[in-house]
Amino acid sequence: ASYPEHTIIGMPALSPTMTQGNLAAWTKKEGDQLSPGEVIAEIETDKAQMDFEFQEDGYLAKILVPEGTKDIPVNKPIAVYVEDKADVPAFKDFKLEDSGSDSKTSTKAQPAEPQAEKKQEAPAEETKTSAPEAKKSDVAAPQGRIFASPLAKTIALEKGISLKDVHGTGPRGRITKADIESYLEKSSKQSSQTSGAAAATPAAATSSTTAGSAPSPSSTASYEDVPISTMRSIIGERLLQSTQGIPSYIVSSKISISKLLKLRQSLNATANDKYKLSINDLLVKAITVAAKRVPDANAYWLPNENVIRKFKNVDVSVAVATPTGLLTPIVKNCEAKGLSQISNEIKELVKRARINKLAPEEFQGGTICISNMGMNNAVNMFTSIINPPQSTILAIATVERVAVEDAAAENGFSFDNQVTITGTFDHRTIDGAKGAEFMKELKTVIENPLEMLL
Amino acid sequence: ATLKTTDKKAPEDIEGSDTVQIELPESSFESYMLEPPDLSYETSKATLLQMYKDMVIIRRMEMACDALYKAKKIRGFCHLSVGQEAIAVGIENAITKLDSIITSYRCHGFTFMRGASVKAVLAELMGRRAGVSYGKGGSMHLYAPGFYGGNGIVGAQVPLGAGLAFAHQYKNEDACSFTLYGDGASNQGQVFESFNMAKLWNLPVVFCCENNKYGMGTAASRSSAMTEYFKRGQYIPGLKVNGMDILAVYQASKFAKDWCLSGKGPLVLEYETYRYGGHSMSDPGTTYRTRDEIQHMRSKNDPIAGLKMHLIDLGIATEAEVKAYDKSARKYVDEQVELADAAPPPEAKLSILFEDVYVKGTETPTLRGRIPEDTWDFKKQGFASRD
Repeated sequence: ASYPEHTIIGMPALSPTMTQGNLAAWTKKEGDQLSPGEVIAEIETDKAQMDFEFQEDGYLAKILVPEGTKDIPVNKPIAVYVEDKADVPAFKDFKLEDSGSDSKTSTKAQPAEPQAEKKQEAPAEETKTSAPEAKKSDVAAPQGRIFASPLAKTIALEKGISLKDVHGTGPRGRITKADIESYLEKSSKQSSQTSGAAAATPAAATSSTTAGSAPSPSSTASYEDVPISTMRSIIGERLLQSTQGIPSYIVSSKISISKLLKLRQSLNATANDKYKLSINDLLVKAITVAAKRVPDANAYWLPNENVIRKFKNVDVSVAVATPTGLLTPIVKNCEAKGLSQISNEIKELVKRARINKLAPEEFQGGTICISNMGMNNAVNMFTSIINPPQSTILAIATVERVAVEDAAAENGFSFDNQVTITGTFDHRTIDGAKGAEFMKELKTVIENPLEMLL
Repeated sequence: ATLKTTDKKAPEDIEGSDTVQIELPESSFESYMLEPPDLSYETSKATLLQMYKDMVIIRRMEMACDALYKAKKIRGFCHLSVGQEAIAVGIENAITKLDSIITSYRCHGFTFMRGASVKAVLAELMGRRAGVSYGKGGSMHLYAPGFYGGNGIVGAQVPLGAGLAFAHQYKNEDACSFTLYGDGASNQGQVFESFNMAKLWNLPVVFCCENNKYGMGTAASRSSAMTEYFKRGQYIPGLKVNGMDILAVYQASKFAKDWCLSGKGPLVLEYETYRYGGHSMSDPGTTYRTRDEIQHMRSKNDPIAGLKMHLIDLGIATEAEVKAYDKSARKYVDEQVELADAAPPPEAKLSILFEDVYVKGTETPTLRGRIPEDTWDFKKQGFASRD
């Protein structure tokens, strides 16, 4: 199809590190006049929501990407504009494929294409077609050399396909990725019908069905695809960075929590509704006291600044599960706060975290982290992943009632409430013995909760 | 450069009388310790037409930069002059190739006006061998004959510009130096040091403050104790010029050049202008000023639209002809973009790192690299202490 003169608008890179972005909203409609400096769309980059200012005169002819589309790679066509208003209706059913251009450039799609082709071709001419493939086939060898794109060659080599059997549809009969894929599709169909047809070996046919980009589901499979949100991908990236990049070790400790529970009960009994302390609130304070005693645990590993930063204040990050994902709001300066204040602040932060109303400074930072799954009585013990650049995270399991030896008791034993707390430490900032010392201090404080007063 | 000169229309192409009378509005100039230039002057139609074409090409080029940047083909520093075109074009038309220009990093337009092709500028920005600095400089390091850059350090070009003027004086040339800096840079100490030396030695230097109202994201009034930049020379006379009117820029620049050549010493010019875009590509430019303000400047004070109106009023060109110029400028720049984009990057060979440090033929025998072992031998075209 041919269209009047037009220009494709590509996804802009609105931050230096942006490789893809979301199209939050179009502020112009198809047919609207565009003038330099006007905002035509709002784009969500990797950092912020930005206005996309258009720099040309013209008319928006066609929007190619609807509002709310996520993860559009930079330069991918998002719209078409024309200089002449009369040309707008011609683009009503415009499809990118029709314009005879692919998605290579934003400024001028058509002239850019031959260049892109040329670039791909150049390396192809230097590499030879691989020898083993040539031997496999019984078909008469084609004359001269076979032209194929490097990508096509790589795929062919992986799948064990002889390039001779593939029909190229690219320029001058060049074999492209699409040709290989359509060949694979054909051969896998054929091999399932007449096992071992054409030149594809059975091995190649099976590998082609199992090693696709995403395994095709069986006909009975039922599933839902949930797009990966920005938050989920950040969580994923940071935690991967943590597990892969931190030489961590864990120290686990069984701690009697009976006295702490009693303390909580008596404090809450006289609260007059001014506060209601949870076990977690008391543990936050206990961690604060332990962190003050063993400052190595309350430190950042900052290799870029060539320092380990040991904090005098204790800002406790509290891991909170929210509907959209994990958040860690921070209770700042816990060393200077009383239990009721800590308790009220946590309640407030958790409430706002659950409805996604936290300001960035309320969940970025923190010097030490607590992850509490005590409310789930199935969790006897677990480990958690350090929240870099912090060095310590404490995993609080559920309270268990266990029998302990008690010479004074009638039966020689009594019941005690115990909790398993597991610390994960970054060995770069805090050595094993120190980590153990931190756990010991934590145990001491929890088992003698009045030490929190000290 | 060849492409540009063929593009130029010879004066005889224009029908009727070759010259026109220009009447500038009263508000064009404001003077300090001097008699302002005449508000009425005569100039050739060809000059006006050429100025229009040049401004349009510069704007198209800057917009191409914007698009290429957003397509990630241009990386790193990139400061555009959209809105400020009248200054580069007005100055160039008022001076000769003997005069020298030096400016800050907002330099694409000046490079083009001094003779570099659009392709060479864009190729430089994209890091291609065909660039004015062979693809090794980038946006802040553009040069052309009689154009001493593109300077990356804020204000550092001002003493250099005084030095250029000193050279002109020393060599007894009938030439002066136009030294440009922004309103942000005008508070640099070295600017005042340059003022002092220039006045002391009576150097033929025109200190040109391009006041675009914002030093990065800070309004002039929030950074400068006195925002009348043309009076900043204290003992140097000054002139404020409407930098959004190319006819005023042209007249003031001619005046400044004559001033210097007549031996009156340095002069401070303030071109009051406006940039439509952000300070650089990483500044959206809308957090410290309103969109309305930008849109107002664009629609009411645009230098290109202003000159277009004059061309039509003076009967130099019709609306349709102007439109045709716009179209051909766009086509020309688009072609240049393609040529620049098709140009290859510098070869990945070591000798490229050591070339252009010295003028060819004046090299020292060896040049040290990063570490002593990296010492380059120019004769051998290889490392001195390696095989």
